[in-house]
Amino acid sequence: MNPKSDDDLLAIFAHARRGDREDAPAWRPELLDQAPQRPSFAWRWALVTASVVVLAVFFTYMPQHEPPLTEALPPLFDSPPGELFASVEPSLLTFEAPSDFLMPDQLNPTNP
Amino acid sequence: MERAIADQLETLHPDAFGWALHCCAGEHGRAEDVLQNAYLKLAQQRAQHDGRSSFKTWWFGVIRFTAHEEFRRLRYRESLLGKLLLQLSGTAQDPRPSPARKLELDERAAELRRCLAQLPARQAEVLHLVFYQDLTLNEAAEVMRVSIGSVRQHYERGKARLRTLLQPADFHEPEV
Repeated sequence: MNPKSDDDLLAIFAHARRGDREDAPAWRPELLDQAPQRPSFAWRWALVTASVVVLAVFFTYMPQHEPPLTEALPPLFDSPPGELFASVEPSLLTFEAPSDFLMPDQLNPTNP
Repeated sequence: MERAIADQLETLHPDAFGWALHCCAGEHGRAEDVLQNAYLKLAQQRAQHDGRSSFKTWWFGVIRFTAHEEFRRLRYRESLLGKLLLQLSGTAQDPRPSPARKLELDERAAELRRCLAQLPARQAEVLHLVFYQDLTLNEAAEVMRVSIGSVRQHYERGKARLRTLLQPADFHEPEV
């Protein structure tokens, strides 16, 4: 793997390795003795069930002192029946422009 | 935890720290955290050796993966949003080694680390695994999760480049 020509690199890496070994933290076997973390499904289901119960109770007994929106809003669009544009003057509907005589006959309102 | 595995871990502990140190760009504090997290993974059975590779290559793969996870976390902490959140939560900390710690590092080892840092990550990894950890190229390929051909290429290019980088520093072969 490492021919003779690689001795220079081997030596410098070995030196670095010795230095790192001196700086390495002490071996702590207690790190390996921790109990495995198993997901507690019972706890998870208990939490979910409790949340559902709390939400159900809240929505069931939630005070409803505000009326629905449709009832709360005033009848803005209710108006008595009548002719559309009744208030508009007739002269606006029969407006004649000075240049109307230039229009073709079939479109000219002054030519019946 | 089986006694046999615990014994293997204890034997590998100094080299595992050296590998964690390499994966953390020579930062001792981060390397210790990475190694501790890797041990926790083992203790909590989040990582289990399935016997398809040797224990050492598998264990070094776990450390490498854990170091990458830690690196991503560090990047997040260094991001603007992360810094802001950490300041708000009052848990901000400087991941850089202290100046006193830097002075403690051996100059020659620091020079090697500086040169390795200038290599592409894969080249530096394979050189560390082969020369520092005394792994074969096949084992290095297993740790790095790349093909043997790719590892061989990184190895040859990395060696040539490392020698070039070490020469200007007037590198003398240390006494063994």
